[in-house]
Amino acid sequence: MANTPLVQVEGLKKYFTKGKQTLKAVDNISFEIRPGECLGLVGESGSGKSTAARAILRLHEPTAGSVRFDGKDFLRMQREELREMRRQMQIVFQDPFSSLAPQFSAAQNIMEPLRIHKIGSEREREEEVIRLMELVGLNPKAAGAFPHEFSGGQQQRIGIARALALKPRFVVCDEPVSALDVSIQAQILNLLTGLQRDLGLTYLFIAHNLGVVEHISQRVAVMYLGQIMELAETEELFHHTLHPYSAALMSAVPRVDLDQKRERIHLTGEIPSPFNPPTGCSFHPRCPMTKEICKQERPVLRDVGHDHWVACHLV
Amino acid sequence: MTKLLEVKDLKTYFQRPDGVVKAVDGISYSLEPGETMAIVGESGSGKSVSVKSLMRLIRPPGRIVNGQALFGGRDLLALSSREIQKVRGREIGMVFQDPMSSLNPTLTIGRQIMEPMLWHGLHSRKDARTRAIELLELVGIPSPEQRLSEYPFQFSGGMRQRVMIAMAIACKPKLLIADEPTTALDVTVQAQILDLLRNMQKELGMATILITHDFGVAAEFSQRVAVMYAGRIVETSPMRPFLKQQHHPYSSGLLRSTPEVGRAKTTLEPIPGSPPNMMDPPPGCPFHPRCPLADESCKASLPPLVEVEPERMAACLKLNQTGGKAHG
Repeated sequence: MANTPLVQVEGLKKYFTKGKQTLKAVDNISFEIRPGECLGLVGESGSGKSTAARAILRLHEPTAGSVRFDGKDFLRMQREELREMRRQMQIVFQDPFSSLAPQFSAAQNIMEPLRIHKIGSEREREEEVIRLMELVGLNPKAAGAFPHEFSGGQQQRIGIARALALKPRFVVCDEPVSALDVSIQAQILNLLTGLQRDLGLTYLFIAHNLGVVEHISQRVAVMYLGQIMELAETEELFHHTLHPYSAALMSAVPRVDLDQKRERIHLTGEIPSPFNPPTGCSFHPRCPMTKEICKQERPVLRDVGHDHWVACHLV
Repeated sequence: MTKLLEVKDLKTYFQRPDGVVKAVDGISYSLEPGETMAIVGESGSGKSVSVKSLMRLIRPPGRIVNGQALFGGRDLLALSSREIQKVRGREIGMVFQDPMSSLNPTLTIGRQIMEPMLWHGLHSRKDARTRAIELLELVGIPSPEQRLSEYPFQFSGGMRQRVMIAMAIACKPKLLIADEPTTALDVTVQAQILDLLRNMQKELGMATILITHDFGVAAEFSQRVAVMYAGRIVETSPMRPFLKQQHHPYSSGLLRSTPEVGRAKTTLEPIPGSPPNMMDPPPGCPFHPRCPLADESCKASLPPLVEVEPERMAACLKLNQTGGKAHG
């Protein structure tokens, strides 16, 4: 492959225990993110997409597996080395307001990472804040205002400016537009796309909204109950969908284009409890095509050609 | 055809220490029996307040300051609180966004489904129980008899919303108001709930007002659409022609800024700026600061909602540029 991956995730697991029960939030996932690309991660609530992203950044320590960043083993790093590496990986959260410090002004929020990493003099930091605010489309005159004085879209711009303060190479966007109104969503999506292009950023973009993910990502992974069911280039995934779960998910999205002929795949039931996941393929109780093997063996994610990966016995 | 509901010049204001928020500022529409209409708008557009006003669920500092809502010959806004209680749940059913906070956590599901039937004196306790089991079955809840004695926390989000729907249709209302009924749900569950609502609506012949911010949901569910912005209806139309061509620049802006599945490579055209501060809305057309067609005239006067073509209305001074021509 021409591009060495920037992030390599292998066999990543994140389990939580509650009493005697174990919740396998992320259960053995592997994928890579190539430099400059946006990898979308979609799934319904409880699919483990946010936990996966947090485990990759070690905001939750993974239970098992490896994460290599730029070829180096990120999970083994400690102290100084970890701190240095973390400068290169940042995160933008879903709720723009609660992710900002309400007692700090916009400028102080954006400046905080620079302070923590002791970058520049106070004056240089102030100049940097102005540059960052302009970069994300905020008026630097508002630097002294507090988060609650901004609209939701502007708050998210502050969150993005803060994530970019340390000039990271890799940014995790965890549902960055889900809390925003439709007219504002598009502004933020276009901003993120522009920043990716201009700064050569690499994104892991998490969302439950398929339209949003399709729009922004070059490749997309579909998660269900802690596992990746399908992974392919965006166009390939949306137009040659192979996994029955991905197909059902796509068919469930209500569309504006009423003339577009499509078949609704009716899924019964809801995502099972992750405390007690089904045997074999975790999707088999809801799958319209289940066979005997699906109840017994868990399918592995495999390449079926065209860099299209799918975990299903029937493909 | 006689109208089932006719809302005329409804205004609901909220008095705040620092001023008045005109959450709903003069909206009018009507609904025929069995018709489905979607009210689409972003947060703060007044879509929820407008239907809560009909049900008289506005609490101080909010107040309905003007308007009429004729429903079966009576004005809902003029009824005594005793009389409106007889309408709520009986003739008009409601489903809200968050099923957990609209169900009482301390009462069994069975009791909550039976309550409207008992309150309105439609059934004896025994019959109400039988009917509750039927209803749970109807909305697709397995082993309904057992689940009757369970509490809301024992149900998943989708199942709770099914329970809410069962409660809302228990008394066979003529009108169902569904306020963002699927917004809190995952997309596969949303599809199930929309199917269920559609089936119930057809089976019972209920007229339905669906409040949503999602044009996809509106498009799949409703025959007609009303788009709200800053407390007013800016466009209303039958759904199909609306989706092909919009007359108000806000409507087309909203549609063009929505990424739709299967059309990845189209560029998103966001609406610049953000919705107005309702304490201090811009003069004239409230959309003018964000509108690509706006000029001086838009700042000067508020455009009225006028008929653009039969059954289609829009409130914009630049209709000749949006492809519409005002009639008469």
